[in-house]
Amino acid sequence: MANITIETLTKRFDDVVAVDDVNVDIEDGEFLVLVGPSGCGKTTTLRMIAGLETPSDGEIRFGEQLMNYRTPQNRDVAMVFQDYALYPHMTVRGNMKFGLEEEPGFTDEEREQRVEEVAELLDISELLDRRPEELSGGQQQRVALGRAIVRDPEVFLMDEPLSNLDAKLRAQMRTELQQLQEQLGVTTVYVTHDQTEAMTMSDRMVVMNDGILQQVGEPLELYHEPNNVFVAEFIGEPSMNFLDGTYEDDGFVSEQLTYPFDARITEALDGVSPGSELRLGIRPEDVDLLESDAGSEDAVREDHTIEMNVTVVEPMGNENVVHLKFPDSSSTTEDLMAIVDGMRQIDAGTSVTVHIPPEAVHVFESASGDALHNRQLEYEGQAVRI
Amino acid sequence: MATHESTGESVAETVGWRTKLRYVLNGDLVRSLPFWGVPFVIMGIAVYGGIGYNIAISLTDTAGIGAVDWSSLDLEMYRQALAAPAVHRAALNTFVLLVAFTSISLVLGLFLAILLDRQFRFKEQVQMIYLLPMSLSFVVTAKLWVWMYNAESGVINVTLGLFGIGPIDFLGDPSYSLGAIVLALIWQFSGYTMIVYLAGLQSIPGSQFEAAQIDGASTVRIYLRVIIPQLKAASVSAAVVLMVFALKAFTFLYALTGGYTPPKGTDILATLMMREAFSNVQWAYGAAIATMLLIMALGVISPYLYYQYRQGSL
Repeated sequence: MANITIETLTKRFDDVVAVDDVNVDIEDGEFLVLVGPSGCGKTTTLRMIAGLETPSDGEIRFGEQLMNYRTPQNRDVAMVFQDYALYPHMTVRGNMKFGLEEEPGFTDEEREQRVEEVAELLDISELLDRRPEELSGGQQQRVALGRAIVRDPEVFLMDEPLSNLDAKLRAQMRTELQQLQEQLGVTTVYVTHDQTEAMTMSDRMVVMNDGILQQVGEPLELYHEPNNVFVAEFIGEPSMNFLDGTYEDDGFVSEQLTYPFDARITEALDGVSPGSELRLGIRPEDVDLLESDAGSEDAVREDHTIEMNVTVVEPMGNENVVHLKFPDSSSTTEDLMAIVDGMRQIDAGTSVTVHIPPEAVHVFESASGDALHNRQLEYEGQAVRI
Repeated sequence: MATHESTGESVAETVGWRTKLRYVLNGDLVRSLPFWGVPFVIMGIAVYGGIGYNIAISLTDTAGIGAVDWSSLDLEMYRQALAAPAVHRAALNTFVLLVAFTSISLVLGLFLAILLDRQFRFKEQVQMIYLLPMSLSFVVTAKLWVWMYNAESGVINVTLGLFGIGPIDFLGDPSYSLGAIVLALIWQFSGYTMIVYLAGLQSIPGSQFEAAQIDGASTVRIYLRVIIPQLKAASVSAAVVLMVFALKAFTFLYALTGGYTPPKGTDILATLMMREAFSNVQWAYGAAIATMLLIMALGVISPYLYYQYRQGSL
């Protein structure tokens, strides 16, 4: 078991900077997920922790020990690869025993016993004498996992281990992996491009883009308090709605929308000069669609409502994803997405009153993308969704 | 039900053969006949007809000029050949050549392929250099090595002379000649095994190497336990090609001396066969040796075909 310290970690391939000045402390026993779009440097970071790539700059330490110049053989890590990398000429037993055989200090019986134990833990005992080619994708995945667990390493490294599984199996393996990690208590670094995996599995997650660390934090922290537009957009499915406009008269003004800010937001925008470009963010589930007469009930709400046209309704069963357009919008895609209850009947082509609650609004600076104000976590009149 | 069955049967019996014939004539096998039939016939006459005629002759006592006497067919020639010391020597030489040439070429080719696979600079150029000898004809290789092995002025003896060794008559001295020939053949064919192995190595995903590294295996152990065992198919196919070439080394030996008498100590079954048949005009005796050579070649090929069949590639 070890905590991992990553300081000013940088990796350059010729003149391309794959990982740029990344700093993270990973606690002992933590499940940390590196997430980002492809090419963001997450896998390179993982490979540097594994020792498969040498850092151009910066330090990687396990506990107090500097790892930069150690070969992968001497790091006591185990890794699950995206393609599983099972040895095709060996049986499952051979695959799982390989690492133990390359490590001194085991008798053959001990090795055998450990393999049996781990196989039982993963429920693959009956597969031990088969070859990888005879296994399904899900079974291969378990064997790859078993090969990592059997060595009882200081650190688990996982490179998109679930990406080759079908959706159902992936969802099942997510919870199973998470439980396993908790049970074993081994520090785990997990790489994925799937924000759902990151959200559901991680203790903390690291969002990366273009080699630069965007934000580190617990999943809900990143969801509700994103540092910038990138994190806000990347986390959440369907992703956050954005509206571009300027800061005028203590409010947000765009071609189609005038949206007055309340005191809490203007306070946060204290240093921002009027006329600056702003980006308004709102999660689809926070957008309310009012019944046609509901707007008149609440005077305060009226400021934050707007008439929009429904272009598409995607029924998910439990909820409907509603695509909305401003009446005079010229854009080809939707301007706003809203999620409403699955039992609620909304038809494409109709007009609805859309309410954007100011408590749930995020405000970003357009140029830098930095967050100026994030939503409140609790407020009165919050639409409670069961 | 019973009536249905009985009427069905009678219909099949009465209309049967016409329908069946039409079915056969319209089948893929018959309709594609013009395409595979012609090469099949040519191939059948040229190769299998030749083999059959050779075997037939080996059963007679034909020698010298004159018509073949088919009156007495027996295995006399095989008995003579199996008892002859010259055949024993040639068979032993053939076997030594086969084993030494094949195994050393495979090991050397594997070594070169691993070096190339380790991603060093000028990889393409080096690959070309090793593969070039393969493109040369046996005759060119033979002439080249005859010059290099020359006892007085050959580059090898001149070089050895600098260290005070020699001169050695590599091709003239029976204790060196077979080794010298094996070396020249290895020079020509190790590039081929290298390419076969390189293709095999490159089909192994890099993640397996990395997984083994993380599992704690040293580079040498990774090759021994993870990489080389996966090159079995490549080894088998390269070995078969090499062994067949070893059995055909006749061309090379013929080009060395320009005749059917190879350097002392390097007589193989192929040269012996040619000498018996075409120099000594012992047609039947030569044909018997040829048949034995064919059986050896089949002995090499058939395990490979069986292996392919078991793998489902045949």
